[in-house]
Amino acid sequence: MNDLAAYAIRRTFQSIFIVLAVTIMLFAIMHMMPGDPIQLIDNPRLDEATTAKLRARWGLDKPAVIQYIYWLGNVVQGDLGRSITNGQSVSVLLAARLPATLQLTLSALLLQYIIAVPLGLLAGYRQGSFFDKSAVVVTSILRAIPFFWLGIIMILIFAVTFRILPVSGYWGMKSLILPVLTLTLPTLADTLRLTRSEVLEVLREKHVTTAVAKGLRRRAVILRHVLLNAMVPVTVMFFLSVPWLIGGSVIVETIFAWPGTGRLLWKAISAQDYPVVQGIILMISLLTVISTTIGDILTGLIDPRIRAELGGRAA
Amino acid sequence: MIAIFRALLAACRSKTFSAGSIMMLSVIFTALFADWIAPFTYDEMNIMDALQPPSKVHLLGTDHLGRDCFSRLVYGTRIALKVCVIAVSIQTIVGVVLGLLAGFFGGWQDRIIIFFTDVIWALPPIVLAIAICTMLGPSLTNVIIAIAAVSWAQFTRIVRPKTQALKNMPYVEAARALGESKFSIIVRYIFPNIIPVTIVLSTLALPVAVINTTALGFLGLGAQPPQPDWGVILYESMTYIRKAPWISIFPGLAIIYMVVGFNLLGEGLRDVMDPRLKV
Repeated sequence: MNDLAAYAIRRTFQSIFIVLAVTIMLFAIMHMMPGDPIQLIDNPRLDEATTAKLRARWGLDKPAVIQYIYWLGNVVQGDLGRSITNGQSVSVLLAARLPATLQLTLSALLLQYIIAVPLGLLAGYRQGSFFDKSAVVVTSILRAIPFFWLGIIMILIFAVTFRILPVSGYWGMKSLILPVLTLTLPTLADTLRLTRSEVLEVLREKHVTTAVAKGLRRRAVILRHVLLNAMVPVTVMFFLSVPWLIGGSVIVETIFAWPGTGRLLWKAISAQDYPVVQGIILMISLLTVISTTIGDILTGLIDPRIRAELGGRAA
Repeated sequence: MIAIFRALLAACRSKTFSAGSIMMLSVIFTALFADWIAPFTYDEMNIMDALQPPSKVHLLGTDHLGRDCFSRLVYGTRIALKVCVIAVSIQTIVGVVLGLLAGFFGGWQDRIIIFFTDVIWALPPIVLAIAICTMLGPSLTNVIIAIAAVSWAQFTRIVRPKTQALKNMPYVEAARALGESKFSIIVRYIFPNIIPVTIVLSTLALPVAVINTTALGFLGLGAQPPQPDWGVILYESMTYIRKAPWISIFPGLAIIYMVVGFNLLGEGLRDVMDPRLKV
């Protein structure tokens, strides 16, 4: 257990460094942008002296490193600056939009696992059967479908042709269906394939042969030995797939006018509202790093070999 | 080189690889001979003919400016192919060189490279690409830079451990004992063993690059109208989805065709060259 704690702490420290690197990168990007916030004040009465005074007041005359430390201090306190377009606080904007994004991505993640895990288990268990072969073909096509096209086709089928679901917007559960399906279908393929290959691997292991040989019933072997063991990497994948899902949600939210952070990001990009873009990317990075850290620690919890490998390396 | 040629011959016997290469050849053919295949140019407007459904003159109909959808689709192949090939070449070179250096030298060089790899790996690729494109401004060149910048890490992550293993092989030690320079050891003794995995990884990186290019185009960060980028066409088509669904359907099918083709090609190559590689 001591070993595991050391691994978890090392991994967490590593993540903190990664987040710091991301903040430096984002700050550098914003810093390299032409023009500073003072130049954006469009006021004819603003003369050189006042501009200089304002610069000094906001610390814009200081070297970049000092500015970064100021900025980081504000970020840690939850102050991400203000939107250029409407002057609202970026943190407030984010807090208002985050629940919708989480609702969308978590529903998609849940649906993905409900569909993909049983199908993957079945495909792996009946390797070479018609069902297995068609699962492989269908997943390789699903994997190739871009989110944005699938979204358009979904709208075309369910909202334009059959008129059974709302095209876009946020009208309760009904409007959740199309975005969630769009986000689920392409990502489902990877989970299904992973489950399938894990099942195949576990089926080849000796303890399964032993269980069959000692006369356990088929269902017991499948549930107790195959499913449990195959679920380990699949569970870890749950956390590691969050980045892909969040990336996809940016596009899906844009298509379906879903009032989450992804749509906010797209609007901010079109309006060149850099503080908002910076804030959202920082938030997405943080969410991603947290979930992959959990995923990695879980892997270490389950597989001692990985713990040893990373534990032996200076972080 | 002979080994690689032999592997390619072996790959031709697999159905996956053959299907993939036929699909890819058709895409390359379309891109090369776009001028002959397309009946119109991609920006020829004819407002009188706007939003026409598919017909004999306009095989896939026309868009809101009366441009021929089929011709735009055909010219779009060029953009997709060009961007993904250049982007993947850049990310392959960067990723493989860094992986070789990190694996061969170890120590602080290794730690720095691995740290950068971890940072890139920790972020959702498309979100990072969006950040880079926002900073650099929308253009195809910047899309190439962004895609290469977010995708090299995978190469480093796979080449580095392979290099570490190869570094301790007896023949590499023999070369070192004979006084070969480090550069020559990397180039002559280690790199040739990395080539198969590099080929497989780059082929499998191509479809990802196609999807990312079109996604950036769709978000307005990539190619700009009137360029016939498939993502741009799809974005423009959303406004006319009720009146003219044909504009939306075909670019997506083209993307899927290209992505499936590249995936089959890559999976076929992997089965022959490096079956244990998990990507």
